[in-house]
Amino acid sequence: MSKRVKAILVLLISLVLLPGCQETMIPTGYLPGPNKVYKGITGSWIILSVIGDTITGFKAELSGELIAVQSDSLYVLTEAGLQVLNKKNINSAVLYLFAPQGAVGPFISLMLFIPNIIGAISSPEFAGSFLGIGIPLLVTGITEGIIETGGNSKLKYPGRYLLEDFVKYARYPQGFPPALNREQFHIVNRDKI
Amino acid sequence: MRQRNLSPEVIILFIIPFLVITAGCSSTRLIRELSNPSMVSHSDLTKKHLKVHMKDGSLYVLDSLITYSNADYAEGYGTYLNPYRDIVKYNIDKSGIIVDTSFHIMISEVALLEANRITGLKGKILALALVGVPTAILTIYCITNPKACFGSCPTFYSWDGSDTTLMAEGFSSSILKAFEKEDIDMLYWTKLSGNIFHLQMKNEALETHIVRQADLLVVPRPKTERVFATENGEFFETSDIQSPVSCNASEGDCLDAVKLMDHKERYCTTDPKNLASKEFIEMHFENVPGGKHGLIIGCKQTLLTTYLFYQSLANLGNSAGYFASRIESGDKSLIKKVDNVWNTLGGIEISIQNQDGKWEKIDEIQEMGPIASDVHLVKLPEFRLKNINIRLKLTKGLWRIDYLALGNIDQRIDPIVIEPSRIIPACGSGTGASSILDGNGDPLVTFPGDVYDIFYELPDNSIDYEIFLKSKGYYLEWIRESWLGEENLKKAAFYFMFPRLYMKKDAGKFKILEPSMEESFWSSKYVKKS
Repeated sequence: MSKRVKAILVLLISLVLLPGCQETMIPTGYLPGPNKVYKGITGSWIILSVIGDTITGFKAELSGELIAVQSDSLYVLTEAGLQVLNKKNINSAVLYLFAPQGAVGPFISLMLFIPNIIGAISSPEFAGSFLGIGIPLLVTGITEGIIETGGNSKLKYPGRYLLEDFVKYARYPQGFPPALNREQFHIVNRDKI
Repeated sequence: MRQRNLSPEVIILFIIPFLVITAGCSSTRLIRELSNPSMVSHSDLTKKHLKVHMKDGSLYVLDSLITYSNADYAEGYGTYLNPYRDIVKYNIDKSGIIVDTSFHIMISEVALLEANRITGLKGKILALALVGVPTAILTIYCITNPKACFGSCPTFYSWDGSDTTLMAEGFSSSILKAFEKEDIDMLYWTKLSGNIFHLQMKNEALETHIVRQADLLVVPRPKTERVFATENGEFFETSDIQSPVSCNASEGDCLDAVKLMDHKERYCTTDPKNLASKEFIEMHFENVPGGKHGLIIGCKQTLLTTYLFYQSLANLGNSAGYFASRIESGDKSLIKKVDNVWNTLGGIEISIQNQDGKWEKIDEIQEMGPIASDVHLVKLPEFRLKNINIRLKLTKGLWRIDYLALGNIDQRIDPIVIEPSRIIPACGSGTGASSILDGNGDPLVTFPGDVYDIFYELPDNSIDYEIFLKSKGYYLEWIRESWLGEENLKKAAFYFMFPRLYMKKDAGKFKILEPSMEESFWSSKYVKKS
């Protein structure tokens, strides 16, 4: 295989793999695939930047399950228990509704591209042709990955969304129910249904 | 500085996926709808995949919810969880089997109903499937059978009135210098515009083409007639062209496929037990006027010869060069053996039924090549019959017949020979056109992906001409590395010494490849990257 073909190959594979490198620290069960969303039993996972000290402006990052959005506060269930945060102190927030699909298209296209790579290696004289045949496939996969950035797998505040838009993705979209024992809240294994 | 142009193939390569994506795909979006319980109360409904949020914070995750018009409750199947999301009860298991009685849900205790919908996911899968599956099939096919891919012969393109399209292939049987010969192809669909005629010559295969001559043979074209050429290079004005009234082959009526030269071809697959097995096509003409007649046949070969040629090279493997050099050195026995292989397959034999009902062989068309159909004129003996039966005998699965017609042969015409006036290599092609392709000087040598624009000056732009291409040269097929793995000199010897037996022995292998060969072949032209 020529150096040029190798370089093209490395570039194409890198382009395909890049979108899949996003890592999050979200517990597995809280980031369901889009097809499993309708069976979810919890609120969505939220990562917040909160002003911890109004005088120094010190910011803390907090993550957990969104329990409820009230008129002045957010209920978030963290590993340390249920937290009630004043909306005014929330600097920014990202709400994860389902597993981002940005890497799916590129990944599938790369898998389907494997025969082309095998063809290019086994028949070096046709390397360009074999890789060329697969270009539409890779372009489709990568473009799907790019288009996916316009999806709503995560909602960002501030920006396109207000905290009020997060209401329906909370565990209690109707608001925090009265008479619940705050000590009983715990991180849930969403896969149990 | 060289101008860099993207070829149409490359542009299409990128446009198709975009069209597919934009037509069928948007980003994946979760649409969550929350509704008031009053939406379902007092109506007969069954809803699937709902979540029922209760005022106390508990939750029903339901596969189905049933409501009744005169009831203040609903029934459901699924799972009930307390506000802390511990499972309290379920009445349907993971495999969907009902294991308990339905939930009795008081509507007055319901806070919200939640429904979720995902959009954009199916479109993405569809887009990937549309592009990915054919790509994977084609690629796997080409890996397993590279001999069926990436092949062709010298190809010639010209203007057909709406686009520059494939019109002819040159000297397809000239696989070595020893087999070099002239080839005359009718540019049947070509349309003239002005007195400069433009022909594009491409090398779309892994081959070296040695082109010695690419002249035009032009004859003034009468308004109601056409001019056709016979196998031995005679040109005749042909009038009163008529299609057969019936045409039958092994599959039955095939008239629709052959009555016009329209790329709609009559074709059948090879015999599964013998690649050289013959078949017949019989046609009937009625009310034939008196005079001299000729049968007009528009045809090309299938990829059977390409397959056999590539397979013979694969069998010879590293020794292919040695045997080629022996042929080039004048080894007549080897030349004869190569000819024997092609003779085993044979051409298209034309017979006419005489007054006694016996078939008399008239002629045979031998021209090889699977890329572009050529039109041939076969002179028929003079006869007094008003109704004529003509029969073609040909190898099954070897020929694609596009056109069959009968015409009155009028006067013989000598064509005007026009040599190229200008030859311009396309960007990145060749080393410059030092040759003028006049048949006397150095030949023009082209390599895979080379494209040459050849221009001719027609004698008079007020006359409509019938255009023929007279090409001369030969080509050298490149042995692919992957073919070397198939080297088998015993098989090669068997192929050249007992071609009739080989055609029987190899039939099964070819039959496996036959259904997808055409598609793979046409999808795999060699194009030089700009």
